[in-house]
Amino acid sequence: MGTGTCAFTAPDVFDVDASGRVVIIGTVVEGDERIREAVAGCPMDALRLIVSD
Amino acid sequence: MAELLDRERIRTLFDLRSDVYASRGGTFAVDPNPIFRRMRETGPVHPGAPHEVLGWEGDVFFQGLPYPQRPHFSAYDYDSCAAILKDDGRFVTNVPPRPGEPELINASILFMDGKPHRHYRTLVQPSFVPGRAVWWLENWISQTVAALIEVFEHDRVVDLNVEFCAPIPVLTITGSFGINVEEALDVRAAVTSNGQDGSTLPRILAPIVAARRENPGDDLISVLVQAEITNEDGETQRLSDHDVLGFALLLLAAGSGTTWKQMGITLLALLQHQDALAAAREDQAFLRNVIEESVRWTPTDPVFARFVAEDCEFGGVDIPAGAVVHACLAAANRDPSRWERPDEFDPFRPYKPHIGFGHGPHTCLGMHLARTEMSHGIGALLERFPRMRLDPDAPVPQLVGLYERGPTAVPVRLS
Repeated sequence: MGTGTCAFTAPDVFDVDASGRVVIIGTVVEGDERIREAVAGCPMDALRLIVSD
Repeated sequence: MAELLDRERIRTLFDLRSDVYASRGGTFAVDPNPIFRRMRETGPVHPGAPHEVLGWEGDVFFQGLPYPQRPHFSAYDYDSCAAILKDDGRFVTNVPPRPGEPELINASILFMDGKPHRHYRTLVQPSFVPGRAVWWLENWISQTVAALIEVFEHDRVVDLNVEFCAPIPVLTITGSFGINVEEALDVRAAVTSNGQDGSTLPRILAPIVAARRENPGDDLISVLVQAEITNEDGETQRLSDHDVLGFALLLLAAGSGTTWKQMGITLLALLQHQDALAAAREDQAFLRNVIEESVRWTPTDPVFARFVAEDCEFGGVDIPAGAVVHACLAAANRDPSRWERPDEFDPFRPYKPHIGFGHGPHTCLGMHLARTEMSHGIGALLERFPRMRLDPDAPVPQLVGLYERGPTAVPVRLS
């Protein structure tokens, strides 16, 4: 739906395109608490944080 | 622009203690938070609506209210409130009316669920994402803020709640529709009439909608008249005038009152906390923290309701289908399992998402616009009036209201 909550929480990492889809525009840095908050705060549960080895 | 506004009429239309807000408990002057805390401490979900718990005996007219024939329940902790707002299969915004109940207006996305809601909301969502803040600022907010400041900048004292916080959102949203300043307050009066005045907005908006269908411009009505929706048969069509009006009514009702009160709450809290005020003067980027903390600490709309779609057990309570469940956002935002010292207004605390703007599919459409209006408005005041402070000679402002909360006034000395 693209509420833009993630783009507000971490504006240098997330954006919402014209169709309402979230796009990653920056680097997801391990340990960045804002990313965790953006994922946890998404009103639609549209984001998943996947930790790779 | 601003001098065209009738100040006395603004005082009536934007005073929570006036008749306009009587059915939302505008005169309620008790701090509800200690009672909400006690409720939360004794269980996440309780029978009864919040106003009953708080002892309010007046009329109530709000989302999910009054519906006297239905059982009412309320949730007070963060997890339960977030779950209610997120699960739009179990907790819905629209149900068939029972005998004697009014039918909910389905033209507004407030009363849609599931796919229809997402289809309609997606049409306007792109105009309200953070990336569109500049569009709102450059077209409407900046000039409104500048004009309002010009009106009172040479006064010694001013009530910013009425003279500043109230007009900004109503002029922003009506401006984005192409409605002129002279008619903005007529529109505001109509949307707060509890459905009594259903003719003013269509009368003012109909010619604008017709004009934008002929010649679209760079405004919100143009966005709406050009939006296309695909129905269940796969046919694509433009929004009808009825749909456009439904959207307009929603945006006016939700966007012109809430931001006023939340800006008043934010400004008052900021002026009462000298360390936060100093930090915001030093670096206006700090206003982001101030605004988020204000919405967490005292959301202007403290409660939103849903209807229960089917019999269920929730929060340890059996709830029958058709019941109304009130998610008490104000209590959820002070849940000590999520925030330390939750009753304190502390904009220095680390940011953690709250549900002051709601949650789930019906998360406030205009939240980023509201944030932009508040940060630009308060930022402009701090810049223009570096010695601005609460007026020590004025009565001490109070936060009042039950289902809509805000300050009685924000009286300041400008110099």
